[in-house]
Amino acid sequence: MIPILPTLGGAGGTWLMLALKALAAMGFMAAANAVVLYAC
Amino acid sequence: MPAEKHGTFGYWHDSVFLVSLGLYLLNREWIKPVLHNYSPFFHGHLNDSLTVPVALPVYLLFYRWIGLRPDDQPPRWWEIGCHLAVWCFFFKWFGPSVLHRGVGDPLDNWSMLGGGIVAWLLWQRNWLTGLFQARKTGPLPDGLSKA
Repeated sequence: MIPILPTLGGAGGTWLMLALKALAAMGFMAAANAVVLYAC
Repeated sequence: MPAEKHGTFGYWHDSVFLVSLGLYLLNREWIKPVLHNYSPFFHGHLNDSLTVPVALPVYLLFYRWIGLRPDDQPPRWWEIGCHLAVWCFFFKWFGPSVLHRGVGDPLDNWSMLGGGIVAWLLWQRNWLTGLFQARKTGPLPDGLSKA
């Protein structure tokens, strides 16, 4: 069993999902800002 | 994106977004090419003032897709404010200073802020209208009666 898996179901999983979504949002923002800076 | 819609905001088919995008394209394709001299308004401030109404719905749509945005309400003041802070930093300091791309004119930040305020007023027009209507028809303060 991978040690991280049991935490994914509980509160730890919720925080992990939130952190992943925030990371995805920041990645999107960085990429989109770069596109705007160079293309517009 | 969740199947259910929780709000009235249309993102890519929002009227404020579409009109602003139309203005941006009009300026880019038809106005700027025929200008013989540099125009601070058409070459700078107009695009900056359109940043919030054109860019923000795209960003918010992505946040909705990944589940970070819980509903489809029109952009809130703090969503506009947070993005404005990032964009002012990125486009007016990081871009010109670090990436050597773009111009760091302080007036551009004011243009972005002005565009953001106008966009917020338009996006929140239903809520603002309701607020004014409630003030008009709501209970009057103690000691006063309707004429």
